[in-house]
Amino acid sequence: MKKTFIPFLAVGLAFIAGCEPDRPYPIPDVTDGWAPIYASEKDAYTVSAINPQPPVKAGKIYIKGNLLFQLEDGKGIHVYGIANPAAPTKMSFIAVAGAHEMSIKDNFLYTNNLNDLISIDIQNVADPKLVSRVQGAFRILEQNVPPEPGYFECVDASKGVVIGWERKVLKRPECIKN
Amino acid sequence: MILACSLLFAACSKQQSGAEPNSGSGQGGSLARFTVVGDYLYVVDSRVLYTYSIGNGQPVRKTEQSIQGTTTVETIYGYGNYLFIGSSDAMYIYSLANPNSPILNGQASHVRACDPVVANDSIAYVTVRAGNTCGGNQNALMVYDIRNVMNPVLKKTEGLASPYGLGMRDRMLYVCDGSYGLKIYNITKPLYPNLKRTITGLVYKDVIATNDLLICMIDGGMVLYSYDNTGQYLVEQSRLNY
Repeated sequence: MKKTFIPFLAVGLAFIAGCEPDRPYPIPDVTDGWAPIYASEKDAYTVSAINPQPPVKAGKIYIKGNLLFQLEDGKGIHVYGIANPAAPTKMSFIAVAGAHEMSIKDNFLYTNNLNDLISIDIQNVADPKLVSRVQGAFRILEQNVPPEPGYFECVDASKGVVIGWERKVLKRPECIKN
Repeated sequence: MILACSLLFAACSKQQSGAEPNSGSGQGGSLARFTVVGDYLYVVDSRVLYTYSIGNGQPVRKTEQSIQGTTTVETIYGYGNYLFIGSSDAMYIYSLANPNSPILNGQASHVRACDPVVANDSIAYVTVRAGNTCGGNQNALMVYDIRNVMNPVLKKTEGLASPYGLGMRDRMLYVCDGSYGLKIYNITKPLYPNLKRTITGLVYKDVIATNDLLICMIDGGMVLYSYDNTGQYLVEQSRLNY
């Protein structure tokens, strides 16, 4: 009786191990989760002014003189003129992928372009000029995993640079953030 | 720096909320991870403090130092010769005696929470907020006596509902309590903030208190108020993007 049972058990264990190599969680067929947002290398690292944009995810704020700034989380910086605080003017939107932070010294605006530290000459906010870039200056953003725990679509570097994450309905996601 | 302050006493005593009180720099809110002090940019990510010199728009990394502890750093605030760093379980005070290489002077551990800081020479105000991304279960304004920066002493804890950023100017403290409003405290007695009024109707997230404008980050954009330093006069001027 024992001799027949042990081989059977061994086969069973091998089968279980083969199915779930090192994945202590089930893969659902369909679930809510996160997916990377990709951009080309060029789009991810180009700084440019575009027409003022309506805010979608308005972020941190900063003031210098008559210029008021608000981050658009992950996208760039709204610039307003507030010489007359009762009637602000929309001056510019400085598109910077991954931007969440900023500070200014003299005519230079410092911000994060994903995880690069960049400086931008803002003497003319309608025509900002990239001055300097420190690549991989910090890890303000996680580019390999989403901002919150959950299932996510694994990053595929061949699709470009990850510039953000979005909520999405996922089919059989292979990756999870605990 | 002490000498400079003595000579420019009037100017120094006006350095307030989120101040980057150096000629040439602007002013941010209290939720920032970037701050300029003098000719240096200080940056925190979740674990590391980076020091960059920034002459002529050319950042040069000077030092990079791990912040002790195992929790998540969220904010940095510069005042005078100090950096105040808020993490999810402590406030750290770094000396800028050598601006190239900040040195940890003191720290105050508190409940697990999100915690922006504003400070002056003697007092640090910290808000702690509970929640999914912050952990913990306490929502409060905490008042620290920092006359000895090596040993901040918690003097008062004032309950709040859902606090985010905060700012101060002169004898008033402005605390953003999320959907529960903008709370305005008189801090004539700095260790004992006295709630004067609450402005409601918007979801307040952070604030910059300038000479003549109170600028609030709200859900969806910003709101601008003209105001005085008593909390009595506060008039909305405009909303941006709301």
